[in-house]
Amino acid sequence: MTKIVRFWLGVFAFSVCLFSVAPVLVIVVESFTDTDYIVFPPPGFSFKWYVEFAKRAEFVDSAVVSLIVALCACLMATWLGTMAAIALVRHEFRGRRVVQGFFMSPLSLPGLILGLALLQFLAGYGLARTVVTLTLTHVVITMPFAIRFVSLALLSIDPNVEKAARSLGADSWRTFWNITFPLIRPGIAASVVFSFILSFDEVAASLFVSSATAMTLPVRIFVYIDQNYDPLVTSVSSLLVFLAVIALFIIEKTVGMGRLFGLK
Amino acid sequence: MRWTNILGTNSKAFVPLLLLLPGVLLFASFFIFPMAVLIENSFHGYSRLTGVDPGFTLNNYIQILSDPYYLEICGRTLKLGLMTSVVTLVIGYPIALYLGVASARQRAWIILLVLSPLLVSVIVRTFGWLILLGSNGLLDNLFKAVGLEGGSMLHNEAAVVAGLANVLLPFMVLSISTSLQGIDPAVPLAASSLGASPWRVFASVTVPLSLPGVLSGLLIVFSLASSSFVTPALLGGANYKVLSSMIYEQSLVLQNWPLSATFAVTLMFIVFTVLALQRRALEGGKYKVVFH
Repeated sequence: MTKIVRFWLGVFAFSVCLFSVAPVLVIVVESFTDTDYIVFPPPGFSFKWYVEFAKRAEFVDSAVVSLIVALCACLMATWLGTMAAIALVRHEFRGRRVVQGFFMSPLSLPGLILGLALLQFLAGYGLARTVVTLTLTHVVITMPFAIRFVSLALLSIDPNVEKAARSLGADSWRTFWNITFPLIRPGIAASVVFSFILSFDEVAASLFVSSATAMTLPVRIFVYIDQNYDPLVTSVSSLLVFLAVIALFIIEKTVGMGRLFGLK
Repeated sequence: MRWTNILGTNSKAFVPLLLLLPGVLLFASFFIFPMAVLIENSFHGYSRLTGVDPGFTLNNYIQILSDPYYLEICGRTLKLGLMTSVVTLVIGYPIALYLGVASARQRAWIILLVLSPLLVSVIVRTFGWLILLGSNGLLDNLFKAVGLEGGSMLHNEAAVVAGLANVLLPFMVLSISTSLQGIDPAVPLAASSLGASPWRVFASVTVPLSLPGVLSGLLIVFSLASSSFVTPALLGGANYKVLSSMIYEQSLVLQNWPLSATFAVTLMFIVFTVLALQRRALEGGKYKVVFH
């Protein structure tokens, strides 16, 4: 590739990076505005919209709901996903590919449709929409990722290591906890962190599965923006951005963003 | 009987069964069964007075496929998917190309910046576009500063496409990069040693070999864009209706479950058709790279 082409490609890449992060940056900057309305760039600096957020019980409640749901969902998805991944990677059985496809299928289904299906199912059978139903919905959405991350980790370890432990007399449980688990820990960490953030960010399905008493933060933000346009949600949204930065930091330290999404 | 033999490769069939059971039970009750309920509901009638009618009918489907208003919405959904996938391709291809030649440090930064928005909720990224494009927003104030007419640039198709392209760009870049990474470096090298100019190598070697990734990226972005809800709802405004907005409106606002279910099945049909094509594109790719 010639130098000039390379240079212009670089300039283009830089602008696209800017385009990618622009909406997120704009929100974080705007959240520190001292105005009562949205104006960009903000004329002055203040924390008043963060204080305002802390005063709004419905937003704080939703933040708590989101936190509980995401925490339970990421642990449950990783736990069930690890079990399924072991079955799919370490065992040969009839219909293995079908089961694999079955567990991956929520990936192709738009969240909106899953949400609508769950709403009609829950309401049709008179079941209440609670934190529990929200959590289980998020487990369905995040489990494909958990299975994928743990499967990749399982495939990357040398099966001889497990065999060696077994031949030295360790039973299956011991082999798993002392050999396999430490080796797949990066995959499990990736699964927990990614499932957490995916669950915390989910809007489309949660919109239908949320109720007045159990509403996640992104849904609360959507409902609010649909009616109002003021800097209050910029502070709430920024909290989601800060959470993403923490997740990003953990992912970079453990697996790396590129590898998480399958790039070499 | 060693039921704890969870890691064995020649264990009894019930061990994988036990491991899979909790997941399968959850999926059956919170995914498969609700989907069955949804599909069943799409074949029921509805009246505002009596609610859902238990009898079987195809009326909802006939209504969607014959009413010009609904057909227009279906058309708009397809157009949105098409425009978004083309825009992300135009932006994403050069990035994927640059990733192949950039230094390790630049590469790491680009991957980080292009992919990290995936960790931020769609609702937040879309809200950012409201601040970028809305009145008193960044573009508005920028235009006014240089003496142009500003004002809100929201509530039109361009705003929705810009927002969706921003949200979905990572999928396009990932798809093309994976495909470009799969090209054996010896192939373009062979072409240039046989006298092909850099442009010729790019046009006759790199582009054709990356086509599976391009096609798969186009189809993924198409399916995600045509089923997106938050971005069209917030950036498109009340008059920009796509299938997902109809699903929302019919179910949560008008409580017409059968019709909302029918819209959902229609959207699902579009998405699954596109994804089946995408799987085809990926499979075709394996055989096209003949040099491996």
